[in-house]
Amino acid sequence: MKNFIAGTAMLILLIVFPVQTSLEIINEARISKFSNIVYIAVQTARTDGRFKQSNIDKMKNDLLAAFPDLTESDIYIDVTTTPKYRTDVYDSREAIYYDIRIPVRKIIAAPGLFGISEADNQYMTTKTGLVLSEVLRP
Amino acid sequence: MKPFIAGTAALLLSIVFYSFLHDFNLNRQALEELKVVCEEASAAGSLFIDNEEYAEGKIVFNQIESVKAIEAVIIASLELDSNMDPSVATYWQKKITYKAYFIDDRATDYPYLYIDSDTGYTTLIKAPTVVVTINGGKGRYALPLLKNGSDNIRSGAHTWEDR
Repeated sequence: MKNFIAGTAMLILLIVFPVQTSLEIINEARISKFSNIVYIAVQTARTDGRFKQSNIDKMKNDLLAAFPDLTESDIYIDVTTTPKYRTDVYDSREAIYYDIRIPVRKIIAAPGLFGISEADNQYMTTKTGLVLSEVLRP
Repeated sequence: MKPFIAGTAALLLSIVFYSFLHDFNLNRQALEELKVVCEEASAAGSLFIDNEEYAEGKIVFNQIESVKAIEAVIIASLELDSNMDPSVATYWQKKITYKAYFIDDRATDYPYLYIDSDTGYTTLIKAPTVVVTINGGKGRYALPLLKNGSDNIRSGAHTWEDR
């Protein structure tokens, strides 16, 4: 009986590792999908000279379709929406900036086991940066 | 006692194995991001050309402005300060270094065999190109035997193909 109890306890402890590794692979796939959607939107913004509303809406819809757990309020988008132009010299004011974030809901697979609350067991994954406009000044 | 020793050994082995997998996946993800930044930086750098040379039908990069654009993209994308040191929240731990190579119509005979001195990547360049190589430094590995691994280096290039 003693061996059975010790074995069960050990099994519970050891099962955490493969479950956690699986969760991390799922989170990695989520971040990779998120990066791809943002990348397409950023490249579109580069040729448009800014993040057009249609581009932002498409990105939002793509994110909502890719991640069913997301609602519109979960998606944080702070991007340049005013027109920017290609210049002969580098000018930071003519760059298109973006800061896009979505939540990753689970960091630890068995939070209860470690006393971690649901609120502490998530974070926002972020894509930030800048691209230069390819639109010529009219 | 025997089950206790066997259990402890299994637990330790699992911790080591998990630690490696976790750090390895994180490193792979950071390397992919580094590659994207190289591509973005080279695309930004290739936008600045010498207009007088362009009027003569040549594409010659304005290296001073290109470097400013490349640095701006690297700093913004990798969340660095103006000295290229990473902020606390980023994956990278030490000062980021980069190299920019400008292969243009100033003194290049095409096709030009480009060999990256850091990564060994070899390619035949047929048109003006900006190559950006970023060295992100060592990855974050918890296991002591992996801490002194090689630097994380990625390259990206942007070419003026249709001119």
